[in-house]
Amino acid sequence: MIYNVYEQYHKEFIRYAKSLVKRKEDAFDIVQDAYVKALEREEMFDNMNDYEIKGWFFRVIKNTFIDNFRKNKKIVFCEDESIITRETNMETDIYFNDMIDILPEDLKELIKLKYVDGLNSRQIGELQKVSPSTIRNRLSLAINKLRDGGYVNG
Amino acid sequence: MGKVVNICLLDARKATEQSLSNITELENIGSLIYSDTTASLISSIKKINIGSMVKIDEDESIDYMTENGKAVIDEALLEEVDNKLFVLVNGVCEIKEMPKELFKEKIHSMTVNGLVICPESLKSVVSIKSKINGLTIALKEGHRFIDDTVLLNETFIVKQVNAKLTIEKLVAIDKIDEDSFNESIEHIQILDELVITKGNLKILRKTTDNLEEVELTIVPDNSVFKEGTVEINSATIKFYDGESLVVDGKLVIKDVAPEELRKHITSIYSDKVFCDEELFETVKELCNNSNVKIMNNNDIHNNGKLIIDKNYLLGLEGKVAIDNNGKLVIDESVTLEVAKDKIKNITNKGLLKADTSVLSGIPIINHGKLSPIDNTDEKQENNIIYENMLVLEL
Repeated sequence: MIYNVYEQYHKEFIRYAKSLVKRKEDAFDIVQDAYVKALEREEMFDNMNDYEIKGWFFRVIKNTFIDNFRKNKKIVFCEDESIITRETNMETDIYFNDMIDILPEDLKELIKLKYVDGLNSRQIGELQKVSPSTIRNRLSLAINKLRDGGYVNG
Repeated sequence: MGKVVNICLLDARKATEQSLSNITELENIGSLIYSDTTASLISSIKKINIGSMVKIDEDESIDYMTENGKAVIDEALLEEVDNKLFVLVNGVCEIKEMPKELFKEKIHSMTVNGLVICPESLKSVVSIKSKINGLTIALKEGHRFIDDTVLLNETFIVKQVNAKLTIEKLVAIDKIDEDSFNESIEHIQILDELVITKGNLKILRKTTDNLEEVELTIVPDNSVFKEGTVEINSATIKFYDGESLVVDGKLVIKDVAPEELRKHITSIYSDKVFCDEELFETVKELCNNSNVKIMNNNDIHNNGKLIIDKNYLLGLEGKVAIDNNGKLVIDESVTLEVAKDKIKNITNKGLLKADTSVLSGIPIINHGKLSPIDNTDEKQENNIIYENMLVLEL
């Protein structure tokens, strides 16, 4: 069954992988990695229909991309408010969004305000009507959570 | 102690220490819903391949919509929903034009493993509400999406009326009548790939605005397009009369003299070309030196699952080269001696299972995974508590 799904939807998988990475060769590698993962566990697909298997491939393609990214290039958050060290490319954006998913909503928003919108603690404090020091403490808490999750260097 | 496996939607908002006490692993879960209270309870459970984890308050009333296939979310559907909707789709989720506020109000969150098609006007709110493992296609106003390769020819053109089209792959190598095209097609957005002749490119430029973003292949005016696996041999070569051949798929060329091939085909555009050894140089020239592989009659190409045993190998004349892109098992009956005698080499990009002596004793170019045959693998019993369910509430 997985062979048929893989053959049938291979182009879609490649297209999705190409949207995650820049190089076409890397996209082929990610999709092939996902296929090998499927082959290792083929009994898992016995009770799935084609759409569920296809959905599984999409999830694993994304997870494989994130794993590779995490291995090769961890994000470094600089707690100095004047510097934003997050790189601004598409791969980092996808990783960044997935990474902050582990945070509670309030901390997620805080990280976005600081590292995506580029606001400093005073500006965020004004928005959220709390003191800059509270913001700094909560940012520190968020970064520690990401560090514990293995997402952040240092 | 046991596992919960293959659940589309697992609602663990009301889980208790007791209901989770036997669960040590969650694997292959489309969406895992938890609450503030159960977050700490599920945090200690090992999780493998979870599509999304969504926190929803345990007393919040939620309606589920799960679909394996194609789900359409439109205004009529959302107006009928009393509670907020949690959507899980494996496949395609098409969101129709509707007021942004309605979508915000009625959709709690969405997880899509596959493709999302939505109007450009809803793209931002969809992305905020969704976890998408797959592509999102935001359609410009009035556009229709065609989820396939489109051959732009007169038959296709005459069927269109002031059409605005969003197309994955467009092949425009038949001669197009400019007036007829301009009358029928107002705008084209190409998402992935365009194969086009120079003549047609001039016509399409005016209606296509994202050419710099697509994978573009410009082919000569007298080209022929084929899809799937195409074989050219001494019988089929006669159907070509000096054209360029464009193949979306696999092209196999065999049993043709090099001069005969040059006479009938002037150039080749294809990602996967296989040919006889004596044709290799000619085919490379025709393909402009792109990826061409030599194919021997004896060689084995595996993309699915193949189990090779001793009797099969002993029945082969001479040595074989094996190209494995799927799962190849060389079973225990194949000794190192037989393997050395019958297998020239293996190029592995998939999963290769064999006895360790065979794996280390024959030439293997490995870009995939090698694994020794281990009989204990099959015998391991998994204590599965719940499996293969659309929705499970713990």
